[in-house]
Amino acid sequence: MEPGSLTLPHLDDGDLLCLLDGEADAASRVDADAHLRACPACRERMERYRTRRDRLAQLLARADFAVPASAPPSSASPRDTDDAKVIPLRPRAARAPARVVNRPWLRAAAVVLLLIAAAAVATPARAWIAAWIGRQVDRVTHESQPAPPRSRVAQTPAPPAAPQPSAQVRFVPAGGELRVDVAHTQASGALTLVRVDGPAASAEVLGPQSVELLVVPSGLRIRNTAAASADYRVQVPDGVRHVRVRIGGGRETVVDRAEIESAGRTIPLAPR
Amino acid sequence: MDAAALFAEHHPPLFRYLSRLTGDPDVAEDAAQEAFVRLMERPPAPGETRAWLFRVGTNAAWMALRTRGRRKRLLDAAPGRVPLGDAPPAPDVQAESAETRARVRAALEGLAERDRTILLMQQEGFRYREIAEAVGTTTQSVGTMIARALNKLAAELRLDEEDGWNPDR
Repeated sequence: MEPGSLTLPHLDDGDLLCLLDGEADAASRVDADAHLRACPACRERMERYRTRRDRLAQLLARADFAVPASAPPSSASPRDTDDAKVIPLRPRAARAPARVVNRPWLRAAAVVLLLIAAAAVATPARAWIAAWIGRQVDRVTHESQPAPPRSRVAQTPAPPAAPQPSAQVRFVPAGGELRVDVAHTQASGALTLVRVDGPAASAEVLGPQSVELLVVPSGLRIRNTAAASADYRVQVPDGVRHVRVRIGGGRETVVDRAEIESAGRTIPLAPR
Repeated sequence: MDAAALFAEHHPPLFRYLSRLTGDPDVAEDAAQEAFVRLMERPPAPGETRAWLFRVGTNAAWMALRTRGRRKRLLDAAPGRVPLGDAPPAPDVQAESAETRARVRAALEGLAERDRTILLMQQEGFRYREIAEAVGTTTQSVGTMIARALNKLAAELRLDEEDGWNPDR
């Protein structure tokens, strides 16, 4: 159908971006999908935006600076007002976190110094100071002792261990796209994509299989064999808009965020 | 989650985003550190940490850039008072990406602050609601602003080339 013959107005640029980014609500998506099926002009515009967005992501990744090996700030800086902002100085990035000095022998040394000082004070105060020092010495001595073993009665048996995955990786995807590259189709098994809160993705091999999970710049590579029968579970963080899955070098399957959010998505790994 | 774990999880993407935003890894790192200091002082509600860190980091980065801009204007106006010393260290340029980086940088700097922020937050996968909160606009207008920014970048970065698109060209 030609654009001019449509009864509905064309989708505007904002609508197209909402669709691409999985931000359109269900009702808008139904209307927009119907329009896109009938309107090649809007389809072409949408594809153009998709291409622009993806190419920009590639360019940005190529131009990125290396992430410095920084340590977290060691403590919060006190501030009087919001206007008096403390901008951290550069060396802080390389500074190791401050250590809290909490050694019993240091405290004991301080007590000895106090003891000497106490000897110099007047007689009426001496008894009180000596008693106080005694209490401090007792406390330091007590803190230096190893903690007593826990009572057997208080210990509760550990719950039975859940089956552990045979391999597991955790990583933060770069940008809004995650690629999962499965080296081979398998005898059986499936890849399941589920949503997870937070910025980190994770992947695990379910079952005792010798399969390798590799984190690569574009996402995840699963080094399996054609004889494998493992299942894989990939937790996709909220920030990922879509996952591109390629199995055995075949055609790419694009899974949008909305699909993962609703019920997860399972992709069989056996050849059809 | 403890501070070290939060830092390990959020610092790399925050630094990446801020360095794209500012074009200056030093400013980006300082702004990222500033965001983490504030996180310890006034932690946000659970579940909002990532968006909160990016919002605070963005504000710190823009403020640092403006301060730097003011300082540069003052120095330019009084060249005789420029402090002596070594030239500032060269940016971390690697031969193969320097040209691409310069091209991307120039294109991004052609965008308004708000459009640049919105576009780069979209590239980090933020929800439109979170982007709208970060820049103080409505969720409905975010898509239009991203489209506008992409349209502007398309010509400068040749994003619409039909065949044989080469990101380094």
